[in-house]
Amino acid sequence: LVDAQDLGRGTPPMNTERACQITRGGGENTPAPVTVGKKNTLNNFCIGIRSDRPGCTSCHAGFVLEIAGFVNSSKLAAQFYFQEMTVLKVMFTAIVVAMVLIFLSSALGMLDYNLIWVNPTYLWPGIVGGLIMGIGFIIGGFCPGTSLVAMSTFKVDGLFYVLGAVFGIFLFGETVDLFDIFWNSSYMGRSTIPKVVGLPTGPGCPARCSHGALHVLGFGAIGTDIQEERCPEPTQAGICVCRDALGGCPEGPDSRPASDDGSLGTDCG
Amino acid sequence: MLSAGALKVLILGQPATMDRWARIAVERQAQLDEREVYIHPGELLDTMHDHRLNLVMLDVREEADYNLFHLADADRIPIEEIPARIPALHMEPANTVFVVMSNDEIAATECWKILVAESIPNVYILEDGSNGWISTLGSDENRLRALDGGEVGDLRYAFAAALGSAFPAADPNPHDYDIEYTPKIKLELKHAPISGGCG
Repeated sequence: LVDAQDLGRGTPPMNTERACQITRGGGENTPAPVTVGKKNTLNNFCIGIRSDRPGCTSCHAGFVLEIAGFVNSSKLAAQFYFQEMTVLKVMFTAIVVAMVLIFLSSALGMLDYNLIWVNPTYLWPGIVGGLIMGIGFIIGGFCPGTSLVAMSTFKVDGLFYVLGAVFGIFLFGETVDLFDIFWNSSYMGRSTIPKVVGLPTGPGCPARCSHGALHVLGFGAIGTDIQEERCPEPTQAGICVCRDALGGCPEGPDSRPASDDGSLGTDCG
Repeated sequence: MLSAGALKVLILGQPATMDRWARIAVERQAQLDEREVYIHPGELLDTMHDHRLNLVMLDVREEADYNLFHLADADRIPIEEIPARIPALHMEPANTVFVVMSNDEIAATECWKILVAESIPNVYILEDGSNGWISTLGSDENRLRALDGGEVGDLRYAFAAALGSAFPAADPNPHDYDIEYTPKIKLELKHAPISGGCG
């Protein structure tokens, strides 16, 4: 993930988590330190945003996914092993930020909450679909949006994932009549957390915000522990060499794994 | 900053229906004053048989009046239960036209204000309510008779039996009538989601 020799030289010590930055697009001669870190993750994407200019929205969302490093299937799949918390932290942060902004705008009369489209809930089909998607996510290393972004950046695994998704869509379309009763069952309409738990939005918002913050902090701590375990002794400059969650370098087939002791600056770029 | 925003949401809360109405009252009250949203029974009859539209008729009268007579497929809903029904109404398809009705126009207008404040699109009021409907389309019905007097908001007809929508006037054949009216329904299409879900 990082070239410690290049990146760390001459920089002040940093804590382990901060040091585990991602370099993208760089080789041995182009370390290109970058971009993904807590302070860079407050981007609202991947939460069903709508726009009068769908092309712009798609482009922005895809661009942010790309610069956030979410085109890396190893990084995404590692979330499920609790070895790489970026996805959860980014998503949870985005959700909480969006929630606060939406309800604040609504409270100030700037936004009509009733006009925001909320996907209707079909509880059990949703649970089953979520499980199927989760399994596909683990196996393939992408969710649908990130796979498209990966494909557009010429990643072969992204291409195959998209082909698989298209085939799955075709298969679903051809077979949905066989289970359409289940498919349309347990309809709950426009179901939101305030409605389900019976809390007014006012008190509920800070409660969920705190809940989200605890999650992010909690998972951040888990992530830090894991990072520390993987990088027990940061280099002199305070920068460790991190392997990706699956033990290899995440940035392509020609990359090489970092050394186990974290002291050697192996370039995974 | 996030916590401050959440705290502000806690303090401000979310706007109630009347707050929402107050924000749009100037514009929407003008529609009421100009009677832009009161549709003639003839237009409702045509709309009932226009299969391009999904018509939802909400009858806000008392249950006794509803049992006496109501339009075919009209749902009775007490006005105090309207707010709870709002999320379901939002889930109606984009080609839905909502028509609210009462015995005259008073209760229906109050219901219209709630629905419009809650951003339900394409809401109209039946002109002169059930009384207007019967006088236009049920005058030849021999199982009812017009009453003199009565209070505002009352049904101005007496019925031989509480047949609900079994009266022919509850679902008349549009081809039997030649009614002239000024069309007022303008379908405001809401946009379906164009993206969503994770990534």
